[in-house]
Amino acid sequence: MYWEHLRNVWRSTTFHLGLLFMVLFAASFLIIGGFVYRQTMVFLEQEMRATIDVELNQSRQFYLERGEEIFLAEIEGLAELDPSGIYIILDDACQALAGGYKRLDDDESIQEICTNAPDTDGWVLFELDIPRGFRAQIPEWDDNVYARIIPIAPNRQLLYGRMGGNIDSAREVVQSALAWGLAAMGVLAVLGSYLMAGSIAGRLEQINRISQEIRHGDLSRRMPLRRGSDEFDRLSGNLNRMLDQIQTLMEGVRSVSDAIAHDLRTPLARLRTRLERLRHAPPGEVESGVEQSIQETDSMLATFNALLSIAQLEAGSRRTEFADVDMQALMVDIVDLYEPVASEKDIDLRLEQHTAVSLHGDRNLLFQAISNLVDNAVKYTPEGGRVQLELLRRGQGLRLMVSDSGPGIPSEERDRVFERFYRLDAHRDLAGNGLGLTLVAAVAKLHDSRVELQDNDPGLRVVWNLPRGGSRS
Amino acid sequence: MHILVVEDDSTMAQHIVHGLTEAGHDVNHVCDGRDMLRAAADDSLDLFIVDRMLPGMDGLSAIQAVRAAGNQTPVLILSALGEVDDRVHGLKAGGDDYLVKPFAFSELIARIEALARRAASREVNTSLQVDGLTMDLLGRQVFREDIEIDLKPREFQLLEYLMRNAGHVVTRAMLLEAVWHYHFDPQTNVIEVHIRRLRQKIDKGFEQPLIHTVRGIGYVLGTS
Repeated sequence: MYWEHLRNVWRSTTFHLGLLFMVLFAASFLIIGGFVYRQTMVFLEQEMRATIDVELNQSRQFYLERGEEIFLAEIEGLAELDPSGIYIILDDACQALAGGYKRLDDDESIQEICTNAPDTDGWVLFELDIPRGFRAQIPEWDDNVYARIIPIAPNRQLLYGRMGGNIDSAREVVQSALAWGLAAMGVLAVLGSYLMAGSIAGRLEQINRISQEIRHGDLSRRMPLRRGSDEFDRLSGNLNRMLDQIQTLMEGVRSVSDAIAHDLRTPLARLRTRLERLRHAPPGEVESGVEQSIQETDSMLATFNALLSIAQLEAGSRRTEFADVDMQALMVDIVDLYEPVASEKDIDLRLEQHTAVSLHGDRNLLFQAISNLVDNAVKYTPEGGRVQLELLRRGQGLRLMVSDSGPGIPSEERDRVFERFYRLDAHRDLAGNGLGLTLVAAVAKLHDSRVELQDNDPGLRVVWNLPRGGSRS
Repeated sequence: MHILVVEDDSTMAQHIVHGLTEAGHDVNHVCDGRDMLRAAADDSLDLFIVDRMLPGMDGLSAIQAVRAAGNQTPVLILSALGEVDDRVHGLKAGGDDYLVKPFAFSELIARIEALARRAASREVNTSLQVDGLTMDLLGRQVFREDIEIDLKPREFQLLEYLMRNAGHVVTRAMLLEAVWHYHFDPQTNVIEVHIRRLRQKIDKGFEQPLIHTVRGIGYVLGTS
């Protein structure tokens, strides 16, 4: 399990990116560090050379003013006073005459250094072989000696050198700082990349795992959300919204099939009972029984047809009959068709406000949908009430309203009445298949619009804002 | 009437042939579009009933081919619901009427008879007469036994359609299509109320009613 995780992290893109970043960072660190190192060394060396030059000038001055005898006597003392400095008087043949320090009494090595001094300015860098015990006494002494040899008089040269202790320890400090920095950076980068990759891989793994659970049928699972809103939360949020939608659709399908089963089983059962009774009924009853059975079958067929039409509309594939529809004429036709039904119930049905406006849509479907709305309004409005139709221009589209003075729909049920077979309990005894408003909603959707139910106080007001939709063909 | 039924579904075909024969028609049956083209050469045919979906050559292509050959015999197209947008295509292809399966058989009978009448009476009338009821199509006036009856425009159209199909059943869907020119399915019986109003004006005060309701199917105009 742990090795699996480790392998996943090792293979992850994030980890590779982290490492690449580390390499780039280390390179820039080395460039900057190297530059600082070089500059420090150059500065320290210049400092050292300046010190050596000052000392040499003073010594030459001393030699010239006081003469060789006093100088030679003095130089031994100087060497004692300045433990990290080396004073040696040499002749032109590089034979040491005086000075030096204890270990450089060795004439041969002095001669070698002096003869082989590579620099035309007399600068020479050499190593001292200092015995261990000796170094312990004077810790700042060092193997490396920076020195310069200058002529001070005929057949006389002066060598002054200083231990490179400062430079060397500075070099060591900077070098080790660079090395430690690099090492620490490497460790941190690997660790950081690992943690980062681990966290990202972990969150992706979570999403993967939950996706799998959902795929195996648990549609209620959702991606975990953290408090922040980073890209993972946004991804999870989007996935969750998508899942919500899928779940709603699935529940919709389930409730539709439940509703179909329920709403069609009742009439089928009734039909069966009637047919069974007719088998033994006297001839006089058979005719009316068959008549009733046919009517019942017809109404079931009508329900099926309505369901299929709604399914077709919801699939959005019925746009080929779209054309310009004169909505004003259509509304006038609706009122004309329903006016007798309304007046039989003493309902005042009228087209209150209207304006000449056309719309790109399916004429028959629009007529069907509006007639369903008016049908409902007339059906549910009590005698003596009023049903009012309005058709208004509104921005780029039009607004169509059907208002009645009936009992209205409680606000908490207003969304549900668009569901298939949903009927208000109060109206279950009235004729209807519970598909009228579902079809209206489907027609509205096909026309890129939505039907809203509002309170007409008293009664219901259906508001349908339709785009002109001319751009679509 | 001599009718050719073009339908591949044998149960459906049997049902239609049986029903039409019982209604007194002379019915032939073929199963696909190619057979329909061959059979269409028969001059004695009065009507085609063609299923929209057929194996081989589909119904619409067959109708187009028949029309292209100059054959003007009326065609009623049958279509299963779920085949979208067929109505307009079907009528454009040369169909004269369109019926969606499943349908009530009475609807089919009413429609094919109306089609046959339409084909038979191609002459232009200026007036219609049915059992003492006279309609002046130019003056837009209606008289029954010399008494003028005042009708609203829509009532006039309704009565005109009923008179043109006098003695034959017209269904509610046929009336909606012919008078309101919308193809849709009203939830409540709006047509019935219109007919009731028309009946009030036509039959009130007369001993013999002219407009009769055929239960579960539609209406018929005439004394018999």
